[in-house]
Amino acid sequence: MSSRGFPWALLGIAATSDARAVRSAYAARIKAMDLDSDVEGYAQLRSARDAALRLARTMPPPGTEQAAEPDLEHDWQPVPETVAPQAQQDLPESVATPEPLAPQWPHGAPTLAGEWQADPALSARPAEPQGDELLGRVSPEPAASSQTANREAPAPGGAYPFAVPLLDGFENAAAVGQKSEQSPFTLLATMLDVDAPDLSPMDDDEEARARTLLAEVLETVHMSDISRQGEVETWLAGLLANAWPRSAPLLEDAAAAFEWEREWGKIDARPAIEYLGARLRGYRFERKVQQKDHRYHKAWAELARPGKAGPLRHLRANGADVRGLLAGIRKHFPELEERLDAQRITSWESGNSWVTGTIVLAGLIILGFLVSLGDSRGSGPDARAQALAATVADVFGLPHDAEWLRQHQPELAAKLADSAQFTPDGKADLTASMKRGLDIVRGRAYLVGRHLDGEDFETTMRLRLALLKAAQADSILACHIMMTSASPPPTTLVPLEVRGTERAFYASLASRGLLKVPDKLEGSSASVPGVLVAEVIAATKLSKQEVGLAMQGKSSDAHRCAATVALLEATLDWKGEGRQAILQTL
Amino acid sequence: MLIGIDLGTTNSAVAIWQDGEARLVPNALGELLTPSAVSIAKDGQAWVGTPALDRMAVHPQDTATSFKRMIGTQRTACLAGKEYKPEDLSAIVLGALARDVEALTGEKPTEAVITVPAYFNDRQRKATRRAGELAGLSVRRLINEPTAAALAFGLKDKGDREPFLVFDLGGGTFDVSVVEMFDGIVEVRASAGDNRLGGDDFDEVLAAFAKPRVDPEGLLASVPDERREALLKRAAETCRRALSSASEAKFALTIGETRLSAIVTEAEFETACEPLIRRLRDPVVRALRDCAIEAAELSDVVLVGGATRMPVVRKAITRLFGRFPNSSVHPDHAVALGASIQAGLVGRDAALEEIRITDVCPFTLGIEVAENDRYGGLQRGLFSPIIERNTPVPVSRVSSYSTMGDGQKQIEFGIYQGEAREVSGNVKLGQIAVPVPPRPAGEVSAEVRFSYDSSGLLEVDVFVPLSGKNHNLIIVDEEDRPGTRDIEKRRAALAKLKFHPREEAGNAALMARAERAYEDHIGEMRQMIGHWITQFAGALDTQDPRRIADARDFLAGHLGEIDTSSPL
Repeated sequence: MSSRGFPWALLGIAATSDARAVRSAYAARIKAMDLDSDVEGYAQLRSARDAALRLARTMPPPGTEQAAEPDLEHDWQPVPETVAPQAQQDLPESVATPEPLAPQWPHGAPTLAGEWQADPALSARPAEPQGDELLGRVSPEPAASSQTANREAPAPGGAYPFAVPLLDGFENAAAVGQKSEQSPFTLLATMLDVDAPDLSPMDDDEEARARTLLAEVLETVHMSDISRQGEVETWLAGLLANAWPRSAPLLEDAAAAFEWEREWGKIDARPAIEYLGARLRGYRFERKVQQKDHRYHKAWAELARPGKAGPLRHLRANGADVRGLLAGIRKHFPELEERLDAQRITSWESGNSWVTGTIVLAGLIILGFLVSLGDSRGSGPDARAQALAATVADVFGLPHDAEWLRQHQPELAAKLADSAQFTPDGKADLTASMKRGLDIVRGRAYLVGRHLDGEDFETTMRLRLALLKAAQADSILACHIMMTSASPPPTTLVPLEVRGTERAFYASLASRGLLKVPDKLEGSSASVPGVLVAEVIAATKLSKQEVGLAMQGKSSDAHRCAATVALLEATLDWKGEGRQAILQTL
Repeated sequence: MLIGIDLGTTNSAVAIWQDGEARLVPNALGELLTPSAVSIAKDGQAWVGTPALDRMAVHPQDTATSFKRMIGTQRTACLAGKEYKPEDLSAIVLGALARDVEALTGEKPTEAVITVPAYFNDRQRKATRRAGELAGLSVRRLINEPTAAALAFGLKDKGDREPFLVFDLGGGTFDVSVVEMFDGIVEVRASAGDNRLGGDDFDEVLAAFAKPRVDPEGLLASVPDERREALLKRAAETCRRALSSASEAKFALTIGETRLSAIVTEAEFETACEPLIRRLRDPVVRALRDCAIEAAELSDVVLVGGATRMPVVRKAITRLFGRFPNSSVHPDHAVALGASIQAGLVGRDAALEEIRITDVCPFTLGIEVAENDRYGGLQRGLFSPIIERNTPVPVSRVSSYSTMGDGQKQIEFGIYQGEAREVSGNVKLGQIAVPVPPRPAGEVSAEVRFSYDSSGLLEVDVFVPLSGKNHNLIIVDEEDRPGTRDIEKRRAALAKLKFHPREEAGNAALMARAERAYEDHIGEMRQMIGHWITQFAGALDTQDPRRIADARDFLAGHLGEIDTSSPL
């Protein structure tokens, strides 16, 4: 019966336990076909052969065949993946792909070796969910970590899965006169024992001893064959992952010996090794940031201080650096947040609510974040009117007032009124309201203006350049925020003449009713001619490759900022074909 | 006529399938291996192979070697003031090999099977194919080097073989393939490799190690870059070769009238090579893991590639596998022989009727996607595999993707090859933008089909069900598609190069060798060689065949003597 179904029919043989017969049948079939013209047939034949070989292995030898057959049918027929490998590939509803591999590792390592660079996508991520995740992760629970450490041999209940095979395997120790109980493997495992709850950092003596033991282990690896190396590698990865963070000082040597760095960030990286990779990079970063010349050293020191930060905190650390540091470690090394003081982080973050509300998308601007979250409870209509009046005057300049705006752009007027900000006691917070209003108008003006023509388009782009330059002069983060949100943060000083141009332009747009919510929001791309690239290189002093990466959004914020400003400037003074398309991407 | 070519980093070879067997074709100098070196003088005179290598010492600015390492990149080499792409230089070597076949058989070869490292990416493969076209050869198939070697090894007795591992460490690339044979089917189970690791790297390590010792006063710093490179490279190569048979060797070079030399011991070399040796392990582990075969199950470890002759490499292999490797195939010939067997297969030769070969795609191919993460953010630049690595080829796979933006009008597909989870760590092969009808996010889907053929070349089709349109992707990469006209133009430019007529090739090569010897020596010996060169040049001028033959024997004899007694 089964001989008529898959895979036997395709191979043209009866069900058999003889692997040779299967392979011969496969060979005969494949010689009869032209692989290049029958790709599908070849794929089917392959899967038939593989399935048949597997079946053959589980089949009883000839003679007992009959008794066992029903079972086999039952076992094997419902295995769809061998029948139709194609079906698996189709993911009609998914946005892009299913969950990334090893979803139990949300902190999966980025491909950046070493430490992270400030990344565009990280300047505004809400902190709480990650924090919670994190606590669960770093706590050295044996059950949780044994699952992390060893995919092949999950050990229920946190039992130590490696001890037995390892002692068996370590025959060399006896050969050189060591007792097997004293093998460096056993000793190292004892030092890093997961069953003992003592996962405190090692003291200097312990660390030195552990390093010696590890060196001995690695020495035996060096001399052994590939299978043995594989065993030790799996064992060691599991051991170190289980014992994190106690094992931290050992990671560097172990990673170097097995070249784990090659595996980090790969699609099929083994979970324990991927985990160690992420930890090791965090560990490296932690050591680097403690050095005085590190960019984030001050921010780190500030956040590590216990207790709330006072109003003078800005004297001790630069706000942009603190935000950059927090965003960076939350994205790349979430476990490091534990080393910082939670209270102090909170006090820094509460003063910077404008950052946390921003959703930043590389190359694509979403207007949504500008929608006001202003709390209007308890504030009277007077306070709101006051805020709106101030906002309109600030954004469009006098003599424009709220009435004028309502006439020309009622929707925008309502929006600005909605986004008025209030102090806790119900009064209008004029500064905050004006800032929000300006953000909204700047965002709209830019998104609308880049699709306008002629003078309007020119003004939009020149204003963008002026704002970018102002932001660049402030800080890299400010420039980054400007690039992704069309409005620089409040720390940026915008020159008065630029503000003047802005007011006139925005008023002109509003009087024509153009400051609407843009109906299309697509990213765009354009190719940049060599002559402009050359100008960017000259202006930024970056290498050609660095400029290329910056233009693709793949390099540091500093480079991207410099390249964007330079390219915008060069393109504005340039008259070649595709000018508008290039400007629209900037 | 269909020929098989091993286009190597250091050496190339050509073989033909004739009368039921594979046969190597000697070059004009009677050598079976032609060094992959090209030298071009200002007047367009060109040398290929050993004479080009000899000219390296005297005219480094005219000479290029190891250009295979640059193939598939934008880099060019400047010879006698003119820019040449790596594929141009490869084409010159391929052309020379084709002429060797023509000289032997009297028939001009028109088609070829060319070998490439298994781990060559799509760009490198396309560039290699272009090189063949530039040389006037229609490339019927690109075949992976370890696969070719496996064919040569496996077909020795045509018997069945349990899985064996081909360990192919060439001049510039490293490949590992696990292969088995059954009933005439040669099946590659898995391949892995490192396309930036080879014998050249061992030379570089040796040169870097020996440089401070041989030149403590920094004399080399005053030598022009190209020349310094050439000097160090040759000294390293000679020293490395010597270390294969002795426990210590001289690292020696001559700058003008000064002779520098230092002793390097085997142990020192081994220590210096340690980081390279360590890189040999990973591809082996990956290949074995991908086909789920234990190292102990392997029936053999077959060594291919000149660099596997190094004792330091052999030692490492013996240690890795816990056994001695099989060196029954000629490490420099196996690949070319295998290529000619493949040529016989492509030509459906009757003697090979019972043989079939199946290969795999050694790396993962896929596209760039974005994903919403659990915090509501958008993660861009992620890699979504379509063809997993070590899938048997030819293969065709489909995956579906959908839009992420409302009213999105087109989808951009970045096509990548590699194993990294983020595309920035992979090789970008190209890009296609497909217009789609604007709809709310997620409502438009596109089916992406990747087809990977037996030569390892990729084709991409995108089908949008909503519009019913199919977009066939010619990979958008300027380098990748010079029109037929461009190829013709380039071919015409290369055709202007002058090569020595076959009967004079020996003389030209001898002259280059003598000039190199002149550079290598100092003092009286140098004067003597100079004298011989003048004599030989005088004999050539007479155009009297007898006198030329006498002068050639004389010069060759003396150079031979010098070489054997030379400290180099």
